[in-house]
Amino acid sequence: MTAETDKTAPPVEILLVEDNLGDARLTREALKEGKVYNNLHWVKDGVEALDFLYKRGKYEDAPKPDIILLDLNLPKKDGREVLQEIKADTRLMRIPVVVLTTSQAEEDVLKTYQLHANCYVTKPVDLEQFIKVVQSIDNFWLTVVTLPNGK
Amino acid sequence: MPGRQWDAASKAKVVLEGLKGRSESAICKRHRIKPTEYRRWRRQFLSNIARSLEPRRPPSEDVGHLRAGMPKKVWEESAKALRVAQELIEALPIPVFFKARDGKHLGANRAWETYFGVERDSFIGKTVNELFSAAPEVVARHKAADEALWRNPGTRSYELEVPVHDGSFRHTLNYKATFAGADGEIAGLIGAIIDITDRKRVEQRQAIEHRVARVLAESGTVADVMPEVLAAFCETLGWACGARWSLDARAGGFRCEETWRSVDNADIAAFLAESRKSIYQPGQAGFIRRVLGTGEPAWIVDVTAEKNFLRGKEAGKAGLRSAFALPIRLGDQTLGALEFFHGEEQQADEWLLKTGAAIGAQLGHFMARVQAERDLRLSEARFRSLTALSSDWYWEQDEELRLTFMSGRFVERTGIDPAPFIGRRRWERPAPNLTESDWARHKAQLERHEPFFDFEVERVSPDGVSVWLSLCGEPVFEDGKFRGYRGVGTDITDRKRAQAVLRAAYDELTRSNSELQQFAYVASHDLQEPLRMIGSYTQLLERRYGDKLDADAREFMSFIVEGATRMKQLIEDLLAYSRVGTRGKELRPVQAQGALDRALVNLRASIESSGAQITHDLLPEVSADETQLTQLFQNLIGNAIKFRKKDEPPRVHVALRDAGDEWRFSVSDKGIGIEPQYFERIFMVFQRLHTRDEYPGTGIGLAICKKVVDRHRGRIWVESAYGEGSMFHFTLHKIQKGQT
Repeated sequence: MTAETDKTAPPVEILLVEDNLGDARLTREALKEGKVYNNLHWVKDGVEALDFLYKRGKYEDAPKPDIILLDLNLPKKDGREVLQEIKADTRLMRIPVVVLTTSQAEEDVLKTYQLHANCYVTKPVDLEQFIKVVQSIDNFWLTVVTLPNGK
Repeated sequence: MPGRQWDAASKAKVVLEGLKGRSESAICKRHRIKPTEYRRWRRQFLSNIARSLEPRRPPSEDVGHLRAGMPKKVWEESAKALRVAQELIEALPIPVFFKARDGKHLGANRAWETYFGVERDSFIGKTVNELFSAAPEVVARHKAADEALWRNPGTRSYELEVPVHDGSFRHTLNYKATFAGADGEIAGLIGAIIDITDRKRVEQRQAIEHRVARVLAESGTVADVMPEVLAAFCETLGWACGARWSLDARAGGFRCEETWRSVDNADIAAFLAESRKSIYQPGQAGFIRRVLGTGEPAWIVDVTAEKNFLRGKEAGKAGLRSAFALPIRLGDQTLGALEFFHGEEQQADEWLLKTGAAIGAQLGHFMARVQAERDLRLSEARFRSLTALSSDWYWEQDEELRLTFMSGRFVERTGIDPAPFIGRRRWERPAPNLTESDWARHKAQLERHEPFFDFEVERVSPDGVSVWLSLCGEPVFEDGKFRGYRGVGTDITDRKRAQAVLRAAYDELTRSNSELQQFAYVASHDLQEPLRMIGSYTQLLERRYGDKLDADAREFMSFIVEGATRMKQLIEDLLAYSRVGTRGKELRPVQAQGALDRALVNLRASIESSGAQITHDLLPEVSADETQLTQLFQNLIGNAIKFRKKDEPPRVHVALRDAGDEWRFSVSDKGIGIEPQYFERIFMVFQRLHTRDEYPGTGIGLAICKKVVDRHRGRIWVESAYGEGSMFHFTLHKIQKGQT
């Protein structure tokens, strides 16, 4: 089963945690070119991300995301802390988290913290590559959602 | 016993006691007789003897009484007394003789004969001149004594040393008494000789020993004592001079140290001066050498005739004849010798040698004591000068671990008054650097009576300045009993301050280094974001609006993207370079072979596409960061493949050589080679020798290699012939024994 063949399925809820306007836009553009029917929710820092996840304040009606794209360098509360809180909460820990890193080096650093991200993606400079990356996230999501009961 | 009947034999015995030297009063008291009675008996005894010895009137049992003009009964009585007297005298163990008024011998007993070794009958009629022909001074003394007796008849006794049968001199007590003839006139004298040599020698020995003992007690130095000891022997025994010899360790021979002489004689002085100049090498020949070599006393009767006596000529000139020497001994050791000289020939005297040996042992003990005292003084002096020169101070603790002494250097060095420390234990004064448990450990160590080293204590001086002390101490035991501690202290404040400064500088360096690395990391990280904007949006622009732009615009945009991509690569490389320092793992034993294999796997694509042939030696286990070692091989082999000649497939060999403490790895290729002027430059960051069109890359590979090798404390360098190939060498330390 692929997303393309199942137009009746509800949209994939994606939470993008990204402070950089350019990157956020780029992700949106890439998803546009992808084939997944999605709702992209964009928050700009770690505090806002957690408000969204816990449906606090203006995010009272926010949906539970199917996937989180998490940038690491965030104002207020950075990506590492957000990841830690997600993985410590039994209600949130099953949401797949894709960590967006700036360099291969950063990924190594994160691994030393033993934070259990589901996937690391290095943001490329090249647009073609970026599109490929976002599409690979689509595929990743599809793989995850096809698991029975999201497990 | 009053009323006792005295027979002739008893009377003669009493008189003989007097002749043997007992005083008149003692005899009278002992036998309870009156002096007048004793004198009468003596007179009778002597005149009987005189009569019996009268050669022209030999006593006759038949007619003797007629000649003597007395009744036969009286005469018979008298003759009987005389025979008894004669038998007694003959049996006496002491020499007895008679001589007439003119000095001519009338007779003597057997003991006299043995004593002087003269046949008595042949000597009758001879005088003292003949008896002591070799000793004129003895003759003179006897004659003088006799003359006095003739002038003043009665008894007389005197001591004299006389030569006897074997030529040796004996001390004698000569007791002489005059007797009258029948006419009542003094007819001659009877003499008894008592040998008092043994008594005399005991006296002499005592005299010498007393004098030596006094000298040893009074004088401090060997040089003071020895002349006195020599004098004690010479003056008591009548020897002319003496000297002391010792072993001079520095000259390696025997040396004459002190001399003494009894008379002011220029020749003797010259002889002694000659002795002082001599140094004899150790050996068995020679007088002194024999004594010092064997530790036995020696005697030479005539030094002028003794071949072994090297100073014989000088001794003869000084009028010296006999010599004896005794060793100064301490146990088995011979510390020196005393030698003595006599102007006249002296026979070897066992008694003197024995006495000498006893004194020699006494001197040995004295010298040992003096040496011990000197050693002690020297060691004290050494200790004092050491203490004076040292910047350390000295301290002592009693068995209760209370400080009992602190040398003056403490206050000089630290400016702290030692008074509050005296009588207290170390931990009873504040030391900011030490905790309760530090002190407890120190106390436990002291209670175990263990020595301690470099125990650091911080004290605060009165003006509030910290003074750091380093203390070393060792336990003191006396007869196995713990007596406390003694030790030294050093002011290490300067060292401590220097350490603190060094530590601060080190911390600062570490901090700035880590800051720099952090900076490089963050800077390169943050540089990527704007690049991504430039690259991505330029591409998005081209993607969405490319058909609305002309060829020039599209080309310009491709330059923008290419620049941004290259910049990203540079930043990635810079990050990789900085990570060699920040992300390195601890060095541990790894198989270099494994690292090489992984590098070859990573390079598989380029090896296959280039058709490279890679060969290698068998590689050992080394101490390394495995990831970095893989990176090192990968970069070097990758370069060897990249910089190949265009027309031939690359051939690379990884060689190993044992270079003592380290292994030397070499990666050689048959590629394009490097010109010598670039051998250093190629290891620097982003240094390239070719354009990117020729050979791609940023120029980070060898810089990373160098950083990796530096981190392993090895060396990396290149050998190359331009156009023929290159050989990159690097070294790694071998695994130390015990490291697994």
